[in-house]
Amino acid sequence: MFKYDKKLEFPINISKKDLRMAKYIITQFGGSNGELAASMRYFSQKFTMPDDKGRALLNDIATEELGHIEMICTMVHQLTKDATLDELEKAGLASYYTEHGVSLYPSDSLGNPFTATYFASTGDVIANVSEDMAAEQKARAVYESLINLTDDDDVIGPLLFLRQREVVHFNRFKELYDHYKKLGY
Amino acid sequence: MLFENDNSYLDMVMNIPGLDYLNNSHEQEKEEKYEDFYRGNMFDKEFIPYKGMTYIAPKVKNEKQKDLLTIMKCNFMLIDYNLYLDVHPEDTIILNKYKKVAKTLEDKTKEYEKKYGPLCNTSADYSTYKWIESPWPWNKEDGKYV
Repeated sequence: MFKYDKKLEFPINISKKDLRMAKYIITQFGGSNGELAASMRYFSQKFTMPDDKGRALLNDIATEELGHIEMICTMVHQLTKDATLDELEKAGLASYYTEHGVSLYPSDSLGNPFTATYFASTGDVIANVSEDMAAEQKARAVYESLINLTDDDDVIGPLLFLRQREVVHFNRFKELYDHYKKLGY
Repeated sequence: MLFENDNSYLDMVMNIPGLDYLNNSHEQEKEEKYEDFYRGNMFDKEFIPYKGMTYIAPKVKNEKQKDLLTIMKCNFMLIDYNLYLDVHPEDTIILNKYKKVAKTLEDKTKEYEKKYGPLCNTSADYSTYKWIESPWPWNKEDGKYV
């Protein structure tokens, strides 16, 4: 069961409309290295973790990633709020607008829609936890690309926070990986 | 310019904390600062700035936002300690910190909900039904984040 808190994990207040950045940031919603993929990957894997440490960690990181999905969607929403049709067209978002308006639809920055293959749940503990470690590094790299693409502090602040969370999650998964290796998996 | 003069990736690979946490300083004496929340982690050793950038503090415009920021900070501390304790459940020093913050969060949340309305749809300490009231967390009206 999940409990909703009427707050974000980290405050987001973007005052400047920026359709270009919205088009890139949405990849952390629906891209292969994004937060939706991360959350659902760990959520799916938690059921077959072999001990309490693994069950707890996968469950709890999956839950935090749900909060990150909300943060990313909030950023995209605030960056696109009150956009005119003309502005959307100029930013190359007319095809997105055709299908989805300015609502949130999970896709990557190239426009590819989210797919369940990103879940990457194998049933093998070592393969799963290795996958999770790699996923955190890939997400960190994407956050760094996004930070390089903007100079708006309102956008960089939450991106830096989310990037550091990937670093922390990687470290926890690495500790879990070492723990399972010691147990002989 | 991508990755030019940028060794942060290497630093990260070299700096995996692992089990040395258990024998090392727990930063017991360190005062818990808002900076730890803003940068996104509680343990100094795990923090890796990107290209010299540490954090950008959120802007606070009124008392309600300030009160909520305190709640967000406590909540964040619990999230980070919680993940750490999942893998290191025997660490009583961090467990005690966790318990202390959990109590603060409970108190601050009660105060906040009395003043402004519910933060959770199972809170009921208010006279009229305020749960549906805007702004919701993703709203940007007037820069509010609740």
